[in-house]
Parts: sequence; C-alpha cells; structure tokens
Amino acid sequence: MATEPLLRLENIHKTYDMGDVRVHALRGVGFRVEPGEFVAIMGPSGSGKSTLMHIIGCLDRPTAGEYFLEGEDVSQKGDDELAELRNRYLGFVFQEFNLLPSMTALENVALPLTYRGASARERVEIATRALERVGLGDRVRHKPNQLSGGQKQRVAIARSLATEPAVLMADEPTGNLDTTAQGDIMGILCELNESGITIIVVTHDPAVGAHCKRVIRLLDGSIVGDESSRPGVVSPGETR
Amino acid sequence: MRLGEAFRSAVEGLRGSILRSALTALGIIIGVAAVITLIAVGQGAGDDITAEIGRLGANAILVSSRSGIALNTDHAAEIAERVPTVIRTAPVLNAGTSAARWGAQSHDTSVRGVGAGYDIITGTQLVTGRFFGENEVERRSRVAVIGNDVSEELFRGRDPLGQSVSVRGQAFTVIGVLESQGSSFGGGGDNVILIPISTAQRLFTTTRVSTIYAQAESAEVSAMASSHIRRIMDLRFGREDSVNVTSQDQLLDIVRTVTSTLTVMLGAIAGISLLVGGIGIMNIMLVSVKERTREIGIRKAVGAKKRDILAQFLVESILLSLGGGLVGIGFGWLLARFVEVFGLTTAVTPGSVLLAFGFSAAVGLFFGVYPAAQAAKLDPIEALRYQ
Ligand SMILES: Nc1ncnc2c1ncn2[C@@H]1O[C@H](COP(=O)(O)OP(=O)(O)OP(=O)(O)O)[C@@H](O)[C@H]1O
Ligand SMILES: [Mg+2]
Repeated sequence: MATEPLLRLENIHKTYDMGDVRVHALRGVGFRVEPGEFVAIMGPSGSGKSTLMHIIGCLDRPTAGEYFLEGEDVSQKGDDELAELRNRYLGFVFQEFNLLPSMTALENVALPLTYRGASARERVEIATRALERVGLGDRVRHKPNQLSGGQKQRVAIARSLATEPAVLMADEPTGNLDTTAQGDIMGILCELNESGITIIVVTHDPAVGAHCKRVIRLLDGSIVGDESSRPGVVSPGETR
Repeated sequence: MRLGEAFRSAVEGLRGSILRSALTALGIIIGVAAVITLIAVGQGAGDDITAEIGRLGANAILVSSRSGIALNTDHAAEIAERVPTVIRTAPVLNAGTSAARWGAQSHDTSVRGVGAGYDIITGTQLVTGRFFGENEVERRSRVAVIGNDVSEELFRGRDPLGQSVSVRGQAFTVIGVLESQGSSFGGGGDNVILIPISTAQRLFTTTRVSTIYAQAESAEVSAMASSHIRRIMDLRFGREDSVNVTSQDQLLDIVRTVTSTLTVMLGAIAGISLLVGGIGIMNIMLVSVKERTREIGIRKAVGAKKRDILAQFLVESILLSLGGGLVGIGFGWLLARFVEVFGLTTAVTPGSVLLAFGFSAAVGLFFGVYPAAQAAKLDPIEALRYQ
C-alpha cells in the first residue's frame, strides 16, 4: 500500500453550468503534492488555474473526480466541513490581498485563529510572531490603508501562516505589485518553503514560476506539463 | 470565543456607519418609547379609576334601575330591611349641574341628593366639618357638604363652614367639605355638592332616585347580597331584570377588563411602530450584508462557518434593536413624565419596560434572521469575487 501524499487529485472535472452554455474549466486533472514541495501552477488566462486552486483550497467542490487532503476524501464534503478544513490545513494569499480594512494588521492576521477558538492572548502571541516572520514586526497596529501593496501582501502571508497550515496557496500573489515588492514576496515564500512549508503558487508570470521547484502547466483545463526543475524532489505519480 | 468574535465584528460593523446605525435604531427608539408611554397612559388611567372605585368602600353594592323602572327611597329602605346581609342603604339622586352661589361668586357644579350613611358606604372622608345624618334627611334640612373644587371656587381660602350657599334659589348651610379625590376624570369627584336626598327630591320635584347604594356585611357575602337584592326588586316590580346590581368587586372587574383592553390596544398600536422599526433594521442589515460581501468571503476563506457569519450579523441586528430599545425606554419614561404635566396619570411599570425590552430584542432577532441567513449562505468564491 502506497503512502498517501499530502494532496492527491484524481481526474478532477469542473464545469460551470450557465444555462445555455457549459464551461468546462477543468477536464480531468490529476496530480500529487508531497510535503515540502514548492509548486507553480502556470498557464494562460482562462486555462483553469484559479478554478483548480479553489478546489485544492477547499473553497469549491469538483464536479467530478476525487480529491484527497492528507488522505481524507474532501471532494464531496459539506460547506462547514470545508470551512473547518480551510482553517485547519490551508492558508490563502490572494492577488487582491483581501485584508479587512477596519482591522489592524495584527487583527487581520489573528482572524483565522478566532475561528478555531484560540484565546485572546494566544491570538496576539501567534499573530505577532507571524508578522515578525514576514518582517512586519513594527507594523502590527497599522490598518491596511496605512500599508504599501507589498506590506499588505506580507500581512496576508502572515495571516495564512498563523494557523500553521499544511499548504499555503497563493493565487497571483504578485499580480498587483511592482518588481521590487514582487521580489520581496517571492523571497519570503522561498524562505518559508525552505523552512518546510508546502507552497502552491498560481501564476502566469514566468519570473515567478522560476522560483518554484516544480511547475504544473495547464491549458484549457488539462495538464500539459509537469516538470521538476531540481533534483531530489519526488516527481508526481512516484511513490515512496 | 467564537461568539466573542461575532460580538466584536458586530460592534465594528455598527461603528463603521454610526449615522446609519443611529437612524436605524431611531425606528426602534420611537417604537419602544411609544409602547412605554402609551402603556403608561393606559395603566395610569386604569390605576386612577380603580383607585376611585376602591374609595367606594370594599362592600359597596350599586343598585340602578333599568328602563321603565322608577326606584325611590322606599326601595332603599326595603332593601335595608329585608336583606339581612345588607347593613345599610343610601339612595342617591344625581340631579345634574346647577350653579352654586355665594355672595358674588358663582360656580357650576353637579348636585347630588344622598341619604344618610352615604359617607360610610362610599368611604367618603371630610377635610372639615361633618356629614348630615338621619335627622337632617328626615327634616329635609337645607344643609350641604361641598367638594373641594366648589370650596375653592366659591370661598377661595376662606372657611366655608356655616356659610350659606344658594342652589336654585334655595339657601344651604355648608356643614362639611369633602377630601379631594385627585385630578382623575377631569376632577369630577371634587366638583360636587351633596345635599340630603329628601331636600333634593323636593328641590327638583321628583320622587325618584338614580341609584341605591347598599353596604354588604362583608366582601364575602357581597355576591349573595347582590342576588338577594335583585330577587327582592324583581318581586317588587313584578319582572325579571328590573335592576342592575353591581358590587364593587364586579365594578373593579369591569374596569380592569376595560382598562387592560385599552392598555393592550394602545400597546398594540405602539407595537406597530416597533414593527416598522424592525423592518428598517432588516432593510439596513440587507444593505450591510451586500456591502460586506467581500468581508464575508474573506472570513469564510479563513475558516468561518455558516453559524459564525450568522452569529455576527444576528448579534449586529440585536445590538441595534436592543440599543434602540434601551434608549427608547429612557425616552418613553421621559415622555410619560411629560404627559403628566397635562394632568394625566401615567404608570411606567416594570412589566411594560420588560415587555418593550423583550419585544425589541425579539424584533432584532426576527428581522435579523433573514439578512444573516443570506450572509451565512454566501458562496465563499463568489463573495471574494464580489465588486
Ligand atoms: N463562476 C464561474 N462561472 C462560470 N464560468 C467560470 C466561473 N469561474 C470560472 N469560469 C470559467 O472557467 C474558466 C477558467 O477560469 P479560471 O478563473 O480558473 O482561469 P485562470 O486560469 O485563473 O485565468 P486568469 O489567469 O485570467 O486568472 C474560464 O473560462 C472562466 O470563464
Ligand atoms: Mg485566475
């Protein structure tokens, strides 16, 4: 019996029914991700990258196919169970930062912790540490509108780290940033990956993809390439 | 902990648009203030009337004729004689309004002819002087006991005792002044002049009486006495239901029913405005959910469950309505005070405060459920993509 990988997707389909037209956003996608990997999902616009990330991130369910997260079949779970999984295993970084404007950086980072019932003291402690980890230890009291784009994205990364997720997912994390900030963010993600966190980045920017050890290429909802650029990384389909 | 976050985010949400929250709460404030004030007015009126009837004396029974029946003083005597549970009776003639004059002063007042013992049956108290007795009634004495208003209007601080007041051209010697009964019913209880029934009948050339007041031995036998009186009168007049017999108990019951109906009706009318306030809350909560769609998406993405989002928006709407309710109770109380300036008695009872408080909480809950459910069932991806 093969050891279960961190993520296992089997023949995932996603179709959007729009009345008269049906959009086939994913057509039988399957791959595995082992702990500690740094994966880029690349492809042209509309190829289904975000759709795939939403399914991996338990924000959405596949129309068909199976998805195992830490060996657990999550493809047909209910809304609240998915919420629980997101809180327990997953961290998100979005292109548009998605911070709550009325909250300070610290409160934003602590938000996922409130939904797992952490005490106020715990929340402050963990959130402070997460902010320090992304180099924002001196910006805890700042509101998002008092931060630069790069800083906002670092707060978002800190938020995704606060729950110590099994997988950190980022959808075009540098899409709204200039080259300097882009370098900062990718640097932080690389550091985090080196410290052992599994990261999946969705991007269509080759410069971003170049940071990643493994690149999965999508085209029209199908995988057209899966390359590992560095040796020592377990390739897909292979078992340990 | 999770509820703590719901509370925190709800307060945050309300603070985010202070003016809008305040205006929304205003609907509830007005509704609750209206409920408190109108119930206070209803209760106050009820308390007033009840107190007035309470003054009748605990065992009083009122006998009045139905149409086609003429009661007279003999009937009063007959009741006193033949009903063993009745201690005494006093006939009463309500002779309408006449001008009472003293010197150059004149004052319109209601004239009542009453029998001896009327003061005991009705529990009437005098501030000064005495009530007329059996002799004076028999001798058709021209004596009078005057109400507080009459005393003040005619004598303006001077001692009325021994003075001669003229009514319909007859001179009456004032022998007593009634204690003030308060300002209820426009002060009807104080603007009165009581004269012996016999004198009144001659003055108004009638043999009839309007009502016979009877006093039962005790409250326990008052029902028995009432039916006994009814039987005797029916026999006397040779027909069923010749008279209305009402004990003080029954009177209190009737009044209580009437005033509680009044209070409920006033409360219900005010409740409608509270309902309108609730609809305002629902409206604003729906807007708020729409505006914060993205926030809901973010919260869901990081692990908020349906119940977390539901709680957040429910707490928000309940805070709105409860806050409005509390302020409304304060305003209602002030308003009730203000109404008293116009001579109405009001009573802000703990019951009505509790009712208003509970009702406003319920309004917040009821009208908050739908918007909160809308928020809770949002799809996280669609919510994140909003705008
Ligand atoms: N909610 C939806 N309803 C209908 N169609 C959708 C929906 N979401 C995505 N699609 C369609 O699915 C396909 C894949 O969309 P997706 O957002 O995954 O692309 P993408 O690779 O992330 O593109 P981009 O690089 O522009 O972000 C597109 O054709 C899109 O129009
Ligand atoms: Mg996309």
